[in-house]
Amino acid sequence: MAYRHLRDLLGLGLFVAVALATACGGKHLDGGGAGSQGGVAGLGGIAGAAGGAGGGMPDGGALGGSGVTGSGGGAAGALGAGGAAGAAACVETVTPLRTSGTILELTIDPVLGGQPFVYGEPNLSPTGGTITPINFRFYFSEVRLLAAGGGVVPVDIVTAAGSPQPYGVHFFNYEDASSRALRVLAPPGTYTGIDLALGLSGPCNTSTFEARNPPLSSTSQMTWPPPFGYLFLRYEALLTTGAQAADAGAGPPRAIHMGGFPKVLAAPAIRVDGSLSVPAGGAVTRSLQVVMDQIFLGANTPVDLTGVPLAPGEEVTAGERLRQNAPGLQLFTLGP
Amino acid sequence: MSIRACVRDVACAVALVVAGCGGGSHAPVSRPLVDDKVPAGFSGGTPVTLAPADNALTEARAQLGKRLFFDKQLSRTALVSCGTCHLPDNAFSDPKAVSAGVDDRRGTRNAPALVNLAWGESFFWDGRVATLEEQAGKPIEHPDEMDLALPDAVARIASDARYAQAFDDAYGGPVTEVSLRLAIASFVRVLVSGESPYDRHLRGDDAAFGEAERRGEEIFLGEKGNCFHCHPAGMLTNEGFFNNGSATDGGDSGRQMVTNRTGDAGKFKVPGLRNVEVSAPYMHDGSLATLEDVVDHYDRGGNGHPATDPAIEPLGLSAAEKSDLVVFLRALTDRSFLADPRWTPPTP
Repeated sequence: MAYRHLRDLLGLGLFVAVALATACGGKHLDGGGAGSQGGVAGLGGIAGAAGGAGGGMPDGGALGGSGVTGSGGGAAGALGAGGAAGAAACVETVTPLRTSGTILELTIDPVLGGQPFVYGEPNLSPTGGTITPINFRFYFSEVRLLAAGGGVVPVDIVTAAGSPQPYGVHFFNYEDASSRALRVLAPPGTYTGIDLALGLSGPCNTSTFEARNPPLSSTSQMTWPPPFGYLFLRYEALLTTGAQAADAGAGPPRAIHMGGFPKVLAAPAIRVDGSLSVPAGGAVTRSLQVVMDQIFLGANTPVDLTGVPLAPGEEVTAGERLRQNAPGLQLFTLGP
Repeated sequence: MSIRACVRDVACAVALVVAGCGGGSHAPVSRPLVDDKVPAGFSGGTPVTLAPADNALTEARAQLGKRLFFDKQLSRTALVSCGTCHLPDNAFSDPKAVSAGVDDRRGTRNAPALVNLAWGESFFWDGRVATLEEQAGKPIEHPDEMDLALPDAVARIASDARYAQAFDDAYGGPVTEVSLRLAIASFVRVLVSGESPYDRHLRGDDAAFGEAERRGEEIFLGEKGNCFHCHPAGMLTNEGFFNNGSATDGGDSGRQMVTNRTGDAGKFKVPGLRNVEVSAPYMHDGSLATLEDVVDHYDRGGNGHPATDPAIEPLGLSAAEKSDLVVFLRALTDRSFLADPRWTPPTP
């Protein structure tokens, strides 16, 4: 079969290329400019989010990792940068971590320049002109709360009724207002922040998707053909002339396709700092702002692309920059 | 009861399917409309499991819907049926760029193929309805299509004795606006096409999927052709809305008519591509006559609509690559679907 043939051929070839490049420590910045990123990590290397809190999942998975690169240095590793290792399997019907708790609802609010970044409408670009987002969607998975007393608390991503979401992921699609609510079932307590993966955990990030149901089916618009895996984040926009003038790398990109080559390019681990108080009853709603300025910065800041298995295209390069830069940026902030 | 009279009776038509009319040894026996066929690469279930709870898919409902689909009584002039603009030979599309409704009125959009819509997430080129059940009543009432108010349609059907038993069997009562729409939706839901060379290729049978088809597939699913962004492998539609550069600035605003969003100007629903070879002309307005025209359209990066999606860029395809793409698209033709006697319009 052509699929299998292509997948095997490209998959093996790219994997070997990645392995060779990594083993040789070769680096290739994809452009001039900022070179503060670009630490070299081993295949599947795991760099945690700021502070690098590790933590064991009940199933043995780990998000981030202990002894990881802190945000102060701003240096995320290369290929597996900031990756979330994830659970052992990708199952649609998730066994819940707990059956009781309080639903913590985080309303996803994209902002640009401190102002709401409105879907489908022209937004003022910081570089002049306007940006009209016409497609913006991403996955969250592997959510953990950072306990005020220390330690991390893995939590399920749940529906409004409190049951685990299919595949244990949240799919944000800015076109669908109902997807703006990320809900987790949290034990009561006080927390200092949230760790999560911006994308899919390893087992869910495969290059075959035909048997998957939403939100991992092809109608998610987040699938790539084999041998590539899922898109973790997809963004497309219409730019007016003023904004387009800065499209060479300093301003907002027209498109960002951040994705993961299965078993090689992991979903970046994100830390969101902020105090959270979860009572024993009722529900808690907070705003989780998506800082588009930081998204654009991450997509524009060059990184080491040596040996990285990427599809061609500016949008894919922008995505890989974002993926590698994400752990050192504040892509998300907690609001009231 | 004669065979002819029997066929005119929907209830008996159902019986025909099961056991043949009157047990006659020479009675035509057809496969049921409802089966569990799933095209290769489709997920989520079968037409039966995907049907909504308030319109469970049954043979009686699909058979009733088929009769209604081809019944010209459902237009004001009694000269136009759903099947007038959705021809079985054309994968239930219309070879005209825009269809002719009552009094030869013309709309603005091409009648799309009605294939594998059981898996659809929204309907019409602008996705203005979310279910087949809601969709089914719209063309009946549209002034440029069938131009008949649903209450009037119900009255006509209710006065037709041939339908009374069929509605009772299918929905447990006389025809209503709701059951009328539900029945038509049930028929559309069974229009499953999954035996094209591409389907067989996905199942591991490449007997009808040669080298040119393989090359075309690789272009289609690779960055060279970039088609996969909207037409992912398997379903060949992501059910999304995109401005592919075919819209005319200041013309049909497509999805924007539903959402009122500036960025949705010129966006139209991504169609599935099974049987695309026989569903010409193409695009929302039927403006492209051939598959070659379609490939040329994408190769030049669209027509320059200001809201064209960033993914629509000149491709730089060679003549051979264009040819391979067309060969691949023709491998999506399901001859067994097109020749399926189950889609033959019932005898009036």
